[in-house]
Amino acid sequence: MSNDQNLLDVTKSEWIKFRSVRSSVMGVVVFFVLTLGLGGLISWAVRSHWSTTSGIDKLTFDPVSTSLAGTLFAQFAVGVIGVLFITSEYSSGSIRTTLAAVSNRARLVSAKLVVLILSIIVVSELVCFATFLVGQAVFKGVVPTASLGNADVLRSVVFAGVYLTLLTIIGFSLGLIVRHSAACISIFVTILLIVPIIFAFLPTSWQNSYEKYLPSELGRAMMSPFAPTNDLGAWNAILLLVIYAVVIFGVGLTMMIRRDA
Amino acid sequence: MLTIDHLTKKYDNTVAVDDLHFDVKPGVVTGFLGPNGSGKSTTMRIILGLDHATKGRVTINGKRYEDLKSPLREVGALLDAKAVHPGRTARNHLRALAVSNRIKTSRVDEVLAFTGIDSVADKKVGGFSLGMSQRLGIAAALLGDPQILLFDEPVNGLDPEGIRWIREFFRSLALEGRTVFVSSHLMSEMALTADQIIVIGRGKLITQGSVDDLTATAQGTVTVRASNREALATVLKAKGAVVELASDTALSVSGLTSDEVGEAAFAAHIVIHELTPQRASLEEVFMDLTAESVEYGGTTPGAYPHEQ
Repeated sequence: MSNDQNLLDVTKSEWIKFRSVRSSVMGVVVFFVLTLGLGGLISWAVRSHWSTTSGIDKLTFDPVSTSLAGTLFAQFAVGVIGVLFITSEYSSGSIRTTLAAVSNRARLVSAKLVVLILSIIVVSELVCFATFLVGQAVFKGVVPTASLGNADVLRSVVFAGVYLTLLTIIGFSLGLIVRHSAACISIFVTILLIVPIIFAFLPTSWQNSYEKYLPSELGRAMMSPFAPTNDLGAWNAILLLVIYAVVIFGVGLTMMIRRDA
Repeated sequence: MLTIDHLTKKYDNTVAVDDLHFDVKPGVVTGFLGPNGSGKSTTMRIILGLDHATKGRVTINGKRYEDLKSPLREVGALLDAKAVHPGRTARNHLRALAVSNRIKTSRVDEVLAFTGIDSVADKKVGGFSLGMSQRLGIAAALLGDPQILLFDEPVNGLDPEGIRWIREFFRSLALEGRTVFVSSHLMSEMALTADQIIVIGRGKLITQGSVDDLTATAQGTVTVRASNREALATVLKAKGAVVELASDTALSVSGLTSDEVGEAAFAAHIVIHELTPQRASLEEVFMDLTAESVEYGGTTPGAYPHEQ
């Protein structure tokens, strides 16, 4: 048997590293609890106030997005998991030990990405289907429900998990570029939370033209079974978010290879 | 064999390593000496491919570090003992490293036992003392049973027992035919540990050779005790020697060999009670060699400015 290192060896190694520190394990737990817990709570709140809900709100009610509402909070947890997976190597200095063992940097970054994508997509899809089903069970009998038998509904739930996975890739890629945990998490939160708030103060024409390209709006489009008039639509949204992730990752990988560790 | 081939590293405006050129050979312990800030750690980082050289290159048996197929099996390194994720246990840290280089995980237990940290293997590294971290770093370096070993300031944080252990450990590695490259800013430590010494200052190679060669080339002194000290001093000074008072009865003579001192005393009819050539210690050689290149030199002790 050859002793030459390959991508699978490094991926196995990174998997051991991922599950042997508390920050990533706790991050996944927080992510799970936030998505499912908040999704359930919000669904329950909607049900309990349904009798006093206005007619127009009842007409525009979306049982899919509402049951998935926890993802709006959980997206920060997955972002942080992605960020810390690389920045903790820099803050602890362990990146030097890691690179001495895996001198091919593209291989190292690829292995980390594989571990991150596989673990987050599994957890994301699980928790998105779970929160959807819990939400519909809560709504049942009082509030209109949605069924996974509907193709658009199924797509929304699947895309919710994909959205979260793409966010963790973006967090990881920002980590490759910025390398400092706190700075990187701030940038991530700014993109998802602060920029949309800034947009609220901009002229309406700008909002209409550009707001839909924000990652958070792309996520909304991916998770909704409807296609609002102003929207890019779920498939365009996922394509654009994939492009964002690939570009930021490409920049991160290039900088990682070129810079001194 | 480790070859440092005309290596230069610049950071913005400072030159950390300046056209450094030397080989590190197998079978001996090679000490890499220089004052703090002389470029030792930078050189170590470039050897491991962590930093990119501005000019020149480092090869390991003819290959660059990033081209090694399974790096830990060829080079083991201890750069910074604390360069470990504090939340991970020692065992998991070593397991992850082993798996990445196709090293059997049974080897993890072997190196844990060898370095004497098997009892804390399942404790988080964040709680380790510097000495324990050093041992973990040594365990990691040994994982792949490599032929080339690099240690950057390995005795830092070790207790005297640990220092003795590591010295013998380096010797045994060299006796097995491995290449052992150890950096230090402590000359006295290297005098006890290394066979070959490479001295750098401000990123430049100052000298290299065996410990014996280095002390032999340095100017020694001769200690002489005589019945008539003052008369002997006058005679020796007349021959061009520099004479200092070594103790109440002895003179320390430099610039003349012991033979010349003895003959001069005989010619002047002065009785000599002792005549001992003194070799310069490696410490003194090092101080002489690097005096020009100390980056952060203090003033001499007497020159401390006292408040008026």
